[in-house]
Amino acid sequence: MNIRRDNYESWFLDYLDGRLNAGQVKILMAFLEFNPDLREELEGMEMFRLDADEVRYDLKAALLKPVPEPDRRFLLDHFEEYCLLSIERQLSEPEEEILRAILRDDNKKQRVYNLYQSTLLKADKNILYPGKSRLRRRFIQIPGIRIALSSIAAAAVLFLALSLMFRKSREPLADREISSASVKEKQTEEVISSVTPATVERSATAAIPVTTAIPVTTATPGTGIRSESIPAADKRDQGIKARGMQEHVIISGIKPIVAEPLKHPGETDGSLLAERLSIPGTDDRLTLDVYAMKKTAANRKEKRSERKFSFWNLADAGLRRIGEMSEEPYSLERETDDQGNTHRFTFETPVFGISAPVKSPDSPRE
Amino acid sequence: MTVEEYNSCVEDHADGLYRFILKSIKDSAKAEDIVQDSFEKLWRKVREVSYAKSKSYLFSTAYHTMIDVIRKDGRMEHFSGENPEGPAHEKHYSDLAEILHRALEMLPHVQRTLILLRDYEGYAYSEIGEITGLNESQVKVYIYRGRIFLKHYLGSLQAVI
Repeated sequence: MNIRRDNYESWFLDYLDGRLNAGQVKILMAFLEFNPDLREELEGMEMFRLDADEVRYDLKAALLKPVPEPDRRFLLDHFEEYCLLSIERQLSEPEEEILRAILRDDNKKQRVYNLYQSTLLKADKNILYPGKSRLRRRFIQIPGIRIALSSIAAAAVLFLALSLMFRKSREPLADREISSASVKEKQTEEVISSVTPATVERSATAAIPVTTAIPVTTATPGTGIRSESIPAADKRDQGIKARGMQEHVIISGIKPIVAEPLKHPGETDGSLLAERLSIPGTDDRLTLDVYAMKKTAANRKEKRSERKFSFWNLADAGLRRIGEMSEEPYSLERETDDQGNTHRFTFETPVFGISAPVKSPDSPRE
Repeated sequence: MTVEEYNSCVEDHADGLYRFILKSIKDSAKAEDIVQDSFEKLWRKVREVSYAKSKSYLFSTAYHTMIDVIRKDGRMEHFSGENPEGPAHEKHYSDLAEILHRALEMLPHVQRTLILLRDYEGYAYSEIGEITGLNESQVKVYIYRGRIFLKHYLGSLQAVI
């Protein structure tokens, strides 16, 4: 069990009672490093201890009852039971004396007692185990080597998992743009011809084709992203398919407005910009760029929680297997919040344990 | 325990363990496997089990393995308390021990096991309870019932003879 802020009391009590082993004490001390307020609480508890007073009860003798003498009549009435107790060596000396006296006086009862005696089994010493030589051993494995090997394996598993995680997070920015642009491409190809065709105007000054503003159609449940439709007649020009291109969106009859760049949530370095049109007196519109980026981010976040080949799953599976093979405790556990983000991890080995907070990858970058 | 202590366990307890299992399941090959398996488990925990506790560890391990074997083989016995063949068929057995072991086979395996542990190895009721997972009262009741059956069986033979 890992120590957390919701179960530390039992750990404190075990520590004060001396029931924690060396590894658990290390885990507790590591936990207190990150929770100084609880360290104070533990130190406060150590100061208060109750020691039992030496109190004696002087009236004990009055409570004692006399031990009844064995009753011959009672033994005769329960003779076979007493025979069983005798051969099981459960009778007291006075009871054995009375039983022997009864047996001396009555041959019939003696025969019954002998029958009970006959039920005692005797081991046949001629039966020997034939494979004894195979059972003997010459030496015990050196545990240090086993711990060292299993520790190396655990480190290798963690390194592999970490390298996997870092490789994904350090994917080049351009590649990410390309991947989101690919999604945008896909979105552009999903043309729905349910909207009144709009005219397409081409800017004389730019090679980038323009299209009319796209009315919002339906809301996608759960994501809050409004879907868009592009009239079939206004399919994009091939030039749009070039990566990273931006679009000017205009409303026919209204002068083109160069919108202010909008930073995508989570992207603060200015990459993956999209344009938002600010149209007085009308509803906000989403360009396809913004729609595609929001949709991609929502999908990525949803799938992150379902990802099987993640750092945590890989590390946990690897350490669990190492623990089974080495018969030593290895574990990596994490605490998550409601959104599934990890905010604390605990790593335990036979030699040491550590528990530390983790910054969520979704927290805003500073 | 040390390697020397482990090897002493082999010398001291292998025969007794084998005898106990063999009398319980009447199959020498399986009894050998169970004994070997029990010592293998002791070896794996050689650093955790002390020499003083090794005997009870071995018997406890062997007992539970034996129960698994019995269940796997479907050898569930029902105690009827009677010899279906009748006491007259035992006339040709002149050796009391042989008759006794024949009667032992007719006991339910729990009663048989407890009597073997009690008589062969001299375990106390509490120790038998630890090995078998029963409490002391249950151990006593099973042993007493087993002995009463054996006594009646022997008594009925004597009456015939």
